[in-house]
Amino acid sequence: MTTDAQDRPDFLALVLLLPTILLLLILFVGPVAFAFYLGFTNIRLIGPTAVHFHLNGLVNLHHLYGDSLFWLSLKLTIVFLMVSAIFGVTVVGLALALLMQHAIAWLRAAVGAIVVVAWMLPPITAALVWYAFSTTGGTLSLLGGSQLDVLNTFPMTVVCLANIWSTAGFSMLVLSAGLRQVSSEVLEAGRMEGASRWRIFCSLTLPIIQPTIVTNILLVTLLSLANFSLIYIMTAGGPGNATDILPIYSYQQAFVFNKLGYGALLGDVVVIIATIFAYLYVRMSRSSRLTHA
Amino acid sequence: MTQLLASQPSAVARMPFEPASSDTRSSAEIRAYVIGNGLLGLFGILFLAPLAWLFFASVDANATWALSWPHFTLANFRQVTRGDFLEALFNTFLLSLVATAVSTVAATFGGYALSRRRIPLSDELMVAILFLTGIPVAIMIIPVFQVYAKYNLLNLWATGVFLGVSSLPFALWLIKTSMDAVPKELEEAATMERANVFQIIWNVTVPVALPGIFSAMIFSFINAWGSFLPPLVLISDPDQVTGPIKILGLIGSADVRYGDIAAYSIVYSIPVVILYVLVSKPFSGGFSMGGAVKG
Repeated sequence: MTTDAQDRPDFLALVLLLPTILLLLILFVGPVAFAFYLGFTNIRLIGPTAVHFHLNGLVNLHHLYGDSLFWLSLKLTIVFLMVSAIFGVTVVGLALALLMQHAIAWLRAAVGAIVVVAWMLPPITAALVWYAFSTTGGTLSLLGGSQLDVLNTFPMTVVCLANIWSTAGFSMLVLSAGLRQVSSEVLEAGRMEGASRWRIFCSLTLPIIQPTIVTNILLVTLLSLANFSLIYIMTAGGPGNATDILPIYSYQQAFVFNKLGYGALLGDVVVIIATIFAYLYVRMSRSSRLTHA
Repeated sequence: MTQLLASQPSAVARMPFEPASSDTRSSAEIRAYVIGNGLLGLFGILFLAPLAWLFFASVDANATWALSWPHFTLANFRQVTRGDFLEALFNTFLLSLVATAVSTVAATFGGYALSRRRIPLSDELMVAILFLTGIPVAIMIIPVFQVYAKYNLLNLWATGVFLGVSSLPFALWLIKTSMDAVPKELEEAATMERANVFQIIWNVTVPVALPGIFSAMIFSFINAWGSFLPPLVLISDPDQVTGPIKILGLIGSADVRYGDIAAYSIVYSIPVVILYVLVSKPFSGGFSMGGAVKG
């Protein structure tokens, strides 16, 4: 790109890039920065401090530290991400991708279509489908032959399953693409050496697709962290606070209890968690590009 | 789930491929084949089970949350494809159109500049943009609400612009990458013909990079179409309500009409599924939605 570049500064290029930069600064980077500022103010949704708000030092941070619901919410967020994203979606996605490899053609097409459609559905539809599936009188409760309210009895389990259901298709596609990079010569060589299938999987396939698995875990974690709608529509964080992950708790504090400032601070914690995973993702995709080059 | 994953390979692990007679080997192969396909079928049934209610209830005159054989009717679909239901879908369409226009136009010019022109720190900029694709939109809602409320922007159009910008990092990434693949000679030839930069972008670069631009458009459209929290918080006019908010209202109403909810969700979801099918051929090798990190 720089080899045939002219010597003079390229003003036209900057002009072409300007709309993108301005839009991102005003409606993306700006809001994130503003959220950090609001997190340290006494702003409320209604009342006198809705307009005339000011920085109130570390009051919000102090409140956060002593807020047992925040610590519960942080714990629930970690459980949700660990169980559904890092473990559930990845394992189900990998299992599907592996099973697809040697499946009967029509079965592969049918199951693939179902799993991918589950992933394509808009978040609200996925949430509705799972609400109907697990609420009193829904399919799950009838399977047990009772009127059990599965959603309210095992809320975290159900929202984790719903998240796995609606994201596994993505994971399956990513990992299938990864499995295609495993050359048949390598597997054939393993077979010649008399290695069992399990051995071939552990010693050859897994190491080769490991970067894809790590990238997939990071992407799915970010997807799950951003999936506000699913839990909000299914349980709204309840019953009690059983599924009150941070994005939901932040929304409630801001728009239900009118504490915009405190809600913004809770959102900042989400940004910090997302930043860690996004940073790892950027590092992964850069290093993998270097090795492929 | 570990058992599911482990059971298939371990079933074969007891039967190594070495010197065993060809008979045992083929019986082990057959067993692995049957177990593998059986497990895949089981996954298919588990994934289909929650969806079944949606299809049955949508054509059931007496639908409830329960899965039951429908008393067939199309009344639910007729009910949800008129009046304010249809208006809400049209609002969703307008919202998605604004978002798509904003992100695609900006990303096409920006992608061209980053791909073809000398921009200081362009590599660092691309890393920053890739990083932005990982930031969840939900956390920007409070500050954007604060600014929009102050300047009377709590409407469909401004929300569309916000959603467009939230798709912009990924759209820019897609378009820049697809333009990188366009041979430079094409543009150099056009420069010889004294074409200006906009003519070159429109007549040379855009047609060749069209698949990437098309993917970016569809990504932005789907992202806005499926968005729930931004229109819920940022649109205050009841006449501008979008599809997802309407569905939430249906679920929460005093007299829940289950058949309508199911039918409306299907009508609302179908465009997204069609667009996905257009953009990605998941089983023929192409996978273009790699970094689609949006909720």
